[in-house]
Amino acid sequence: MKEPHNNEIDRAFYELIEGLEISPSEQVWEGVQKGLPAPKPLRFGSWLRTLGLSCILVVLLGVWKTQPNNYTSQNSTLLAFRSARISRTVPQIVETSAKTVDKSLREQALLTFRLGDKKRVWPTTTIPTSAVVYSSKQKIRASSVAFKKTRLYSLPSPPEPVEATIHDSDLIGHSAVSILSNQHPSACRSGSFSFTPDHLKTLSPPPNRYTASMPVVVALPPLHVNQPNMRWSIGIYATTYSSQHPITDIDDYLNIPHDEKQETERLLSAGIQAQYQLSSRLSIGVGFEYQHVLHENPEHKLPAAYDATGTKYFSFTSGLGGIHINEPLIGANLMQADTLQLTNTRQRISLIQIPVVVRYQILHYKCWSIDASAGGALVIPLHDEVNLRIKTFNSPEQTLDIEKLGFVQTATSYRFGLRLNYAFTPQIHLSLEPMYLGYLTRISTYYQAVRPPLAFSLNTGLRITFK
Amino acid sequence: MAGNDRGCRAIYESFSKKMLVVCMRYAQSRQEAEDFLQEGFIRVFQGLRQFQFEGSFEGWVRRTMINTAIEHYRKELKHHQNTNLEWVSHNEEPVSREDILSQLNAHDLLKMVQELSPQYRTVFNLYVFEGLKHKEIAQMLDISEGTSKSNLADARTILQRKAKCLMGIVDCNH
Repeated sequence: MKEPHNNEIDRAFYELIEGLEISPSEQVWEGVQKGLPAPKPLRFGSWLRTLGLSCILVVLLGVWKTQPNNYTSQNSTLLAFRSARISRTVPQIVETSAKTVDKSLREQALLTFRLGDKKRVWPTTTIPTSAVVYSSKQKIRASSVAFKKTRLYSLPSPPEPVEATIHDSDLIGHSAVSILSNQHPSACRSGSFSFTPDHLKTLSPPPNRYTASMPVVVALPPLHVNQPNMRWSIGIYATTYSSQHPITDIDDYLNIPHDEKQETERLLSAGIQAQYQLSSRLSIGVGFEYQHVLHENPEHKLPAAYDATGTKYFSFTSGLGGIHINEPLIGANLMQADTLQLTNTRQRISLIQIPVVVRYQILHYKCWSIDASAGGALVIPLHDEVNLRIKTFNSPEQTLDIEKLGFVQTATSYRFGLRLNYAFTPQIHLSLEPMYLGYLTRISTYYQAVRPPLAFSLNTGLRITFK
Repeated sequence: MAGNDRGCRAIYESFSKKMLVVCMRYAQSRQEAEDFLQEGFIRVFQGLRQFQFEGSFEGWVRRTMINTAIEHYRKELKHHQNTNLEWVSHNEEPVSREDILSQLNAHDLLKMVQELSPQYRTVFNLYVFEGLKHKEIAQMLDISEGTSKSNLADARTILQRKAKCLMGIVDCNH
């Protein structure tokens, strides 16, 4: 209340009456109680139903999206692409970085003698650089998180004498044993296998590696600026995203990884959003967001295997992050196949997104609230650049560097989220929002995978509202 | 909010005494003020979800009470005439603030405000206690700015005259 003006009467009345308190009669409160509508029972059922339906929807989407990938079709794409777009004049190729394995092992045809079901190895050639690798894998699967741990280390005590032959007995007790070599498979013959202790030192053990298929998203929630008595609020936000997504296809017969690749995606985005409160529970928001996406897809296609007798299973292992690519093949004719190939791609995309998201408050209890969000976005790519390196190990060896530009197209995406919100004060909120994101159409003709299937982003942080 | 009796009761206990005085300033009797208070609190509790925390809660409750009273005033306006005109005399010798504060109490002044006609009373309250400008009062009550000024001047004169009567400065029994 303002102070009254400089009028004697005004001031006298203001000073005496303002601040005066008089107790009302009890009938007033009784009247107030009668005037209020009867209390409604807390409708747990309705919001539980909403929550349940949301979960079912997300799971169904996840099941749909986690159908096995068809690598054959991808390979076809690559081949077609290679024939149409080869350019040998690319000034600079950005190579995919090797993160976990000795750099000397990158892009090399590392021969693996995997002990298949028969557990016998008959390699012949002296291997210049070799190591025995114990590969133990541990998978912890949760609803949305899968961790893979790969250990790679050299043999602690190499067999004696120096020129030794590996017998089955040497390998008994070691599960999942692989012998890595950079020897070209065509040089391998039947016979005895020997190596020196020096060879074993060439492969230094990298630290344990943990990869998660769940993307890590750090998002700054919008800082809202509310206008008094207005239902609009405007906010700015930023998000960073990183995911590594190993894809494994297990061979049913040998129970070993059949084909693997690893996708990496990093994203940085910043945007502005405006939100309009339609009712106390319902609001709609529209935004404008800039995104930069870096997508790497190193894939080793090394299915060549040989066996002089055609009865045993061997396989090759690439040096890519300890990932094994194994394919049981029979017969010498397979050596003629043009499949010994390494492909490393790196793609950069810049785009603008215009998201529209509807939020509905499911539950509000004291300082806690839960709201569900659903929406979509129009994705307008601005720039698309692909660096592709294909290296073949056939005779003669070939390395093809390919650059591709401008294969981007307008796309649409969708998202579902469930936000848990805690209000410390009316202005400061802590929120946690698992969100499912997906694309209805592809941004780029080359963009193979936009985020892993059933990927949840976890937006968390403080939401500060300025008056 | 409905159903949360304890919460409602706590809010009511906190603000009902102050708000009754607010309502009494806009009403012509305590009974009418309690009616405003009751209706005002029902509105407060029903509209609690709409409170945006954009100002003080007490201010919001107070505005709700004032709006309730003014809405009642709007409805009743056509049935009321300015019956205090006989008190209006702009040639009165002004009475000092100190005299009023020393000789009268808050209840005396509150009763004097209640005795004003609805329009004088509302304009006086909005100007003196709520701090509104004449332009704002005119928009709020759908009257002209000049009418607002005139009503305020008349209300002051009447209140001054009544104060003098109570203080025994003038004889008001004739």
